[in-house]
Amino acid sequence: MLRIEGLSRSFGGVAALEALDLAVADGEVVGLIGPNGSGKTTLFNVITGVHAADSGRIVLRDRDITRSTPAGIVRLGIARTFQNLRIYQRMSVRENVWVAQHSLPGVGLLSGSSAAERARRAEVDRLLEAVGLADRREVLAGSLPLPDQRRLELARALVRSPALLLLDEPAGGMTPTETAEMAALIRDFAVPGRTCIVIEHKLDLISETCGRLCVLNFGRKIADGAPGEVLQQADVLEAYLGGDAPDA
Amino acid sequence: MDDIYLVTVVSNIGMISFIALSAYLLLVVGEISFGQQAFFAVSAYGSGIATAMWGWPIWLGLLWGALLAGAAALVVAIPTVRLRGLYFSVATLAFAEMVRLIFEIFTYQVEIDGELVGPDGSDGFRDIRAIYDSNVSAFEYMLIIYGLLAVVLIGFLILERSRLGAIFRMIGEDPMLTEMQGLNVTVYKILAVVMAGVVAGIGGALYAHLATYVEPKIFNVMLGVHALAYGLIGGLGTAFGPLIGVAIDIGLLESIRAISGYRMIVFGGLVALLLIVRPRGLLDEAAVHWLRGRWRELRRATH
Amino acid sequence: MVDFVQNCLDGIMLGSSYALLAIGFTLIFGVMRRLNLSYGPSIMVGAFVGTLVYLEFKANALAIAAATVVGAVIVGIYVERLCFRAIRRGAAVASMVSSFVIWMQLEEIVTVVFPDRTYPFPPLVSAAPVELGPFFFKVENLVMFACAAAMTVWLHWLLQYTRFGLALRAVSENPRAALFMGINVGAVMFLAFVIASAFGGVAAYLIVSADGQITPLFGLWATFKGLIAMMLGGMGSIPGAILGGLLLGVVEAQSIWYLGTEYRDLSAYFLLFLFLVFRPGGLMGQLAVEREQAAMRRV
Repeated sequence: MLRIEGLSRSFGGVAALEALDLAVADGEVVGLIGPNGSGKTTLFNVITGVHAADSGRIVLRDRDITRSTPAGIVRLGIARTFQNLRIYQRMSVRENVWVAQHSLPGVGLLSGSSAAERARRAEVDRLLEAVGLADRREVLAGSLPLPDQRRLELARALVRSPALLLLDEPAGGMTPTETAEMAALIRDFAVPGRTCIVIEHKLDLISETCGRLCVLNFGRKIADGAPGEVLQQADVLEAYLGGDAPDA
Repeated sequence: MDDIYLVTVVSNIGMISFIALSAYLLLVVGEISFGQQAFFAVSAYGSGIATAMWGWPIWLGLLWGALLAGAAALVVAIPTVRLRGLYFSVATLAFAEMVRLIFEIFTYQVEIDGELVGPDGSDGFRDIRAIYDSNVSAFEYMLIIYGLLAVVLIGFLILERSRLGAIFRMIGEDPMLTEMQGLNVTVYKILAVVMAGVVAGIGGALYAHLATYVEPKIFNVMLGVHALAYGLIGGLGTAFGPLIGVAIDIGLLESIRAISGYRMIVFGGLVALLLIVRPRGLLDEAAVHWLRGRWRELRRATH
Repeated sequence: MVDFVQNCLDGIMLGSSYALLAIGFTLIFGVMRRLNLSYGPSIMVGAFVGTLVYLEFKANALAIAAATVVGAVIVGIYVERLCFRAIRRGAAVASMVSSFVIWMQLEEIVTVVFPDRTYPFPPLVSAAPVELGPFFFKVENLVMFACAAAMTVWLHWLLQYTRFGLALRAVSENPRAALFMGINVGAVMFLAFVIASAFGGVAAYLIVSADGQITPLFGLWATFKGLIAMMLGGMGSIPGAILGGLLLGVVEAQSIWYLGTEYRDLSAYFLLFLFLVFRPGGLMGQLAVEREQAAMRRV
């Protein structure tokens, strides 16, 4: 599905990613953990074309996307959420999801009430229902509380039915109850039928959703395997003890 | 006499609305243009040349002027659209001043019925008489202006409900995020600049034929700033915003005789204060959203 | 060849007045990260205050200069309060538009108070041009050039070697961080605005006294020339403002000579447009632009 080979990226002499290799198989759900500044979000940014790679290759289903534009990459079936939420604050909740369909093939710019457009709008409503925002779909998105904004981002990422879903701290800033709800939502609704990479500090959510765990430190991969085994490794514990606590 | 005065004022409100809508469209995509007067000017000259010198019918002159303005907008858009914020604003300002200064030296005249007709540099362009020659009264011409304004406004309202309108708003809020919804932001921004150029062009062509005389200094930066201010007063949430801005400035302030000599002082202060309280105008997105909600409730209650 | 060199020299002299205007402009932009389009009109009002003092009291040059500076500073404070302080952070566009409408307001106020439009302004020096080989220099231009140089040196000292300069640089680099360091950001911005307005007042005095007269159009002229010079040099950079001003002066002098007066402003705007398209950061500010773009892309 996704193959990353020798990927490097540095910012002003500081290496954020260094010769990173990572292969994700079809249908796999990979958790990505590591201390702050270990390069997790940078990896997402390089995959989605926000930052260019200094060297290395990113291959999505035999197609090299290393030099593609952010828009092109999205159209190939990668969708993501953001660690520091990015939503259109001046648009309603429903519009925030609806706008993500604009670049889907066959979507006209003016198609007001064709059958296809009605079906797409129904799909938006279905997703909002699923993430629990149906009753607030006409509210301006900027006025939602933070956990709901994260749910909104998830719905927006899912509306394109992406083959690969990148979730960047989907439970960031949430209480334990909200985190558990989000974990269930990801496990039962977002993940089935697609490949997924989840960045998260909260190990509860990781163990609930991911079949595989990958640890980054200083832009390098220091562990990769089944969650139970990885968390026993000495260098993983050290990376965490030297940095932030895993549940920070 | 008073009737003629009224018709002229109302016609002026109509024409200035086009350039206000044009600046508003760019505000929606998040760009400030100080240069929409350039497209107004290009079309005023272009349509004037077409009708007065080449003998084209008025409707064709209008169409030609608007297309010419759109083409000029495309020429500016391609190199400048990747500039963000302030840099784009100053680039539009530089372009508009260049256009004005070119018309200061642009001379192209032909002899018609023993008289020289055509633009003559800073002396301007006289005798754009098409509407008088075809016996259109001032009142009828006012109806033409408002007919076209209605068409453009309906276009804007359709746009606002369409996906394209949503894309423009998305770009205005967060271009990078919009790129990451799979949309080519550059292309849509160029499209917005061209559409805005055409809208300003319609106004410019109408203006040239009502005034029968245009000169370069009419199209100075003050015209562009007014156009911009109208959207910011009226609000960026709906295309009615800039029209409200025009109505407040020309309709209200012009009609209060007591402040006639000090209009700019009052207007300037008013806009500055308004920008403090409502930086996105009276009918901003939140206000429009609220109004739509009330409207929906009302409809539900009556059904 | 002599013509070309004489044009360059004239251009540098002309350009020193542009540089003076651009310094104030760039100082405000560097600290606020916002454009003050009312800058020209504010110092135009200052010059009219100077004229008033001259006409009413037949005051000497020093008093007129002082009145010009005080007038420019007072109007500058008005602009700062209304268009910058009162508008919340992040609404840079609202500030810019606000300063534009206040420009029109100031111009209208001046035309109402001074209905004759053109007023005399006493010259600072009246001496014959200095001859140097085949080249000529106007004395008032030399004074302007010297003042621009002196003000730059003083500003450099202020920014690099004083506590206030350190605070100002900190605010310019990162206002939030400066706030957490305990710097009174509002006060620093206010003071920077006052200094820039005072600089503008001096510039206005020198330019207007060299012209011998003042009209309300001086505001528009000063804003546009200062803006172009600043953008050519690179926004927020003081050496850039000087270089930009001199470049603008030289280009204008050459196009007057080779193309004709009507091409003077046209070539200035054309140069600005080319710079914006190909090098938006100007001569000195390319790095800042790249940093800004990078910050925009950070997710």
